[in-house]
Amino acid sequence: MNRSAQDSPAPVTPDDPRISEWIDGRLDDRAAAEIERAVRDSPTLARVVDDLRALKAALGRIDDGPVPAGFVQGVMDAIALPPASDDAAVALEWRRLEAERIAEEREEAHEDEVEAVTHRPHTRWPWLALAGALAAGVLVAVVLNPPRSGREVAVAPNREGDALAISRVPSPERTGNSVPVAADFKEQAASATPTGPAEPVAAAAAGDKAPAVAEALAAKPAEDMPSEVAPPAAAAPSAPEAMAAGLRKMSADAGLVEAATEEIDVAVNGPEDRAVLDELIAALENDASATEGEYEPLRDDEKREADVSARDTELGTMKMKWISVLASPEAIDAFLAAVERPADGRGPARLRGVPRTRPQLADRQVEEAAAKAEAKPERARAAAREGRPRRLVIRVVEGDEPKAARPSDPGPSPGELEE
Amino acid sequence: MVSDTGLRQAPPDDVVADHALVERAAGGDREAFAALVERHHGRIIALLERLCGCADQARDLAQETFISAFRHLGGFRHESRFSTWLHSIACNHAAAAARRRRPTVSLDATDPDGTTRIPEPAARTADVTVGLEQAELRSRVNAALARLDERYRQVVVLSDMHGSTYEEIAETLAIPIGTVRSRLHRGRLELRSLLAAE
Repeated sequence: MNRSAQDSPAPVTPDDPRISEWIDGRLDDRAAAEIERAVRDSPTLARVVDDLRALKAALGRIDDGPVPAGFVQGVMDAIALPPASDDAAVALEWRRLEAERIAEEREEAHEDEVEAVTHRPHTRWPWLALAGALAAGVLVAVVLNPPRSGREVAVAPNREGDALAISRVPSPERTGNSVPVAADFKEQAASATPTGPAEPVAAAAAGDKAPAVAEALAAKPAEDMPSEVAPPAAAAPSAPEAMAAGLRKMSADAGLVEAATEEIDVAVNGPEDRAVLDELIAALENDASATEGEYEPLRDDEKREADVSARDTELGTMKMKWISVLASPEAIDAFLAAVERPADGRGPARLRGVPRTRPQLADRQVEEAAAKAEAKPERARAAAREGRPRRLVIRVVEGDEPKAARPSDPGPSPGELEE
Repeated sequence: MVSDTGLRQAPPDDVVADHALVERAAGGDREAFAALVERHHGRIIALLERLCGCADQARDLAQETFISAFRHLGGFRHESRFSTWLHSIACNHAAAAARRRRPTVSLDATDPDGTTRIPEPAARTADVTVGLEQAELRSRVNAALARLDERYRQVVVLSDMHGSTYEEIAETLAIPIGTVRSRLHRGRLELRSLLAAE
């Protein structure tokens, strides 16, 4: 956007990002002149600029510090260790994902119990539940701390069910762009034989200093699996509850608001898609926000600033990112319209919004709530009428392997698969 | 600078040399990968120390970063600089470590009365860094960085301490450039307030 072309430029305030851009020499002449004039006319702005310049100069003066001796050798020793077996690696990834899924489901189930106990007017926090589930997932991931093998594991969303599909991806240093073999992760997991936890990972789970990478890698992955998450039925029962309790307190302290929540998957195939998605998410972030997409926890029902948090994880050569956006209903509708293109994925943006396990979750929430208490759907509908913010959870799936692993998914053409 | 393996540290933006080394390392040449580690580990460790505030943890995370890079080297397609890719991996590891340390809901930007906190220094701060020696400056800045919201810390460190451009930061952190702009300014204001409040 060419800000200098605006007819009536916004007044310059200390929190205007253009100030830093001006300090960094990134504004065009007209915008720079505008900031310069404002700074000249305002002692407050002048002080801010002086401070930021001094701060930037000070930060730039800090050197990198000493380099630890033997670091390179340590890395090379770590990568020289024999990789884990393929089956064990698959099992580890499956168990980690399964533990996350279980934690999420338990958190959702527990949410209703929490609501019944607290009787707070705004105690249904679907997005907090999701955050709790994700945090619990992270917690479980810390416990598992699975080492990577030479062969990687890619995970794809299963559009039909609540499970995930998994496929093996040939080791990149040997094969390049070969097509992976599709397989159901449960079948692969069934062939693995994980057992009890190993000491290094158990120590990390207990909050001790993280074990050395070489040590962790040296442990057999099948032995790295804590027993409490080995079979789904034995998943840690207390983590979601503890997380929910913590989140309850934090949200109560912060006065966070409830918001209807929807979930979608968005497949991103390459830089073009990523760029388009970035723009769309940026539009969500900037919705009704005077600070251009900086995200504040909502303080009351009327505020419509965006709240964005993301969690990245890297699974093999595929990347998944969870983005939770709290924005106005209009902005979310616009986003959904932009990504929910025809399933052939042949639009200019080539983005596909794929309903996840719970399509139209907001509507389902209303229906489920109606079965429990009539007041709840009324409240949800009233919130929608009043333009309260809605929460959209976007799971961005990036990478080619999942498409090949699940050829029934719409989108990739034969040419794309060959690629 | 000569390292403990006798190789000379090259400029981190030596893209051509990196490209060749990556190609060789992806083909199984471990000496080439060792050379890549040699070239970049100083900056990566420094970045991670600034992001996580702990030298020991930075070293561990740096090791994990290079191991991740090695494992995924075959997927690196030279669409960005190797150093940018490496920074991205390091930031992901730092973010994951931060998530393990604290809850996922950050309330840093709000006051107890429920209002959004606008960063404002407690006092005149134009001379906030004047006269500080390097060690003291590093200590104070690291302490302030540790209290900065992670989203802001990443952008400020990459921009003002590592010299990354807005575009490189956007690529490293996989965020829109508009977000880089706003986070950088907000982060600088927050950091200014934190330093002034000491």
